[in-house]
Amino acid sequence: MAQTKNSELLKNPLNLNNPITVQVLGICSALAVTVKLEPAIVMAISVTVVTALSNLIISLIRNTIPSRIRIIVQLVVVSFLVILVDQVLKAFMYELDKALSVYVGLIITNCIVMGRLEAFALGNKPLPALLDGIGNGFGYGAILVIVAFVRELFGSGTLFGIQVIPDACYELGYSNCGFMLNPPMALILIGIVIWIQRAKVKELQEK
Amino acid sequence: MNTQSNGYTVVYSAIMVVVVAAALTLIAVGLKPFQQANIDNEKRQNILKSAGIAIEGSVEDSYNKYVKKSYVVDPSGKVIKDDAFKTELSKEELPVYEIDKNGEKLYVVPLKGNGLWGAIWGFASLKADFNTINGVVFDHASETPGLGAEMTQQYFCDQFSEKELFDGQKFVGISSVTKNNPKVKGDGEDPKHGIDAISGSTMTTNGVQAMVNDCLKAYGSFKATISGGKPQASIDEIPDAPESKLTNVNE
Repeated sequence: MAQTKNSELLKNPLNLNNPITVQVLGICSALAVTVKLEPAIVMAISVTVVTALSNLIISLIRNTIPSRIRIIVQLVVVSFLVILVDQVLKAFMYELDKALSVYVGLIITNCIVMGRLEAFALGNKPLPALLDGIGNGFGYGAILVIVAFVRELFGSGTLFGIQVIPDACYELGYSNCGFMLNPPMALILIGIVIWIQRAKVKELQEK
Repeated sequence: MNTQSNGYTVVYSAIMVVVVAAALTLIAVGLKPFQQANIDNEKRQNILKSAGIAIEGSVEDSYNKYVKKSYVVDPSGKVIKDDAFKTELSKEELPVYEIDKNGEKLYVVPLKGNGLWGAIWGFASLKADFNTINGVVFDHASETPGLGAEMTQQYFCDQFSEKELFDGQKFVGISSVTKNNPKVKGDGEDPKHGIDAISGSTMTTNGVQAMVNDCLKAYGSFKATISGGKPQASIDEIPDAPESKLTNVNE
């Protein structure tokens, strides 16, 4: 692991080791906040900030952490960062914070964060740990954005709240798919993303 | 140094907690003014929304344009304070916002009550007679999504428009149709007082009914003062609104 190139630390989580589609972590929030693109992107940025900074901090203090309380230390660091993100959102993006509701707080329990701390940050130098955190945040965010794009486009006919499907289509009988707005559709879409990814990427195919 | 010893572990966690707590305190204090500004803006937005006014430009500009004055009255209807914005609704202090909606005079008053799981609140706008409801907005802390949480939806709030609080001098308020009081007529049959409850949310609807009736009833003496008459001697003279029976849990 320590020999992995830095560029791969950034690239792998986007595809070969994607936290959502390959490790199947963090599904809960991915289902909940992907109805619209804007909250999905804010959520993606929030998770990226938390994974990156918590990886960095834990990696910096990794040699001082008593191993018996290392999970507690990780939790304190993660909680600290999540509260920080939540407070900043409340101050500067109040509407979005309300839209994300409990899911910002639930980043604390997002398995991606704890998973990367345990598996990577505790045993690696700060720079690779930071890159690993950013990579995993982006990998999570990429899936969120893909799912939110499809759900908002077909569910509401908008992107970032701006109508993109012309009125003419509605007059011809096209209507928005209400099912897209429901959580089950997010699960199905993630399933489809996993399907497409596995069909394209040979390394992920089971023999 | 032995990072596994008990002493080290205790000291380590103590220092960690102090450092993190100090940092969080600093952040919370530093961001407080921005957060408060957001909360205030949401309140302004809700006041305007209850009056059916769409926000143009910034919330603050619209608020200053439409809300002509605000004051706090006591239960006998006497004005005791100017500028109601910072005053929370309580038994002794009843805030009133006067709105001029393109020539139409509206009174907006805050509502506060209890739902099934937690606090519910909102604003009601009343027409110049302080009797007819113009519109309402509701919000809640923790009602069940899909059931009680529907109270914030437009279709539920719309029912309150054009409802009347008083029947002559008597406070009647609104009453909702639920399984327990089938004698009450709903929105369709009783356009003056009837509200259709949210299906499966008897407790939340009862909470909304009690909130609207209790909070608006408290303004009874204030209504008497603005409708030209002398203030009523005491709020107790106004007969009780029909009690809602809180016996059935449908959620």
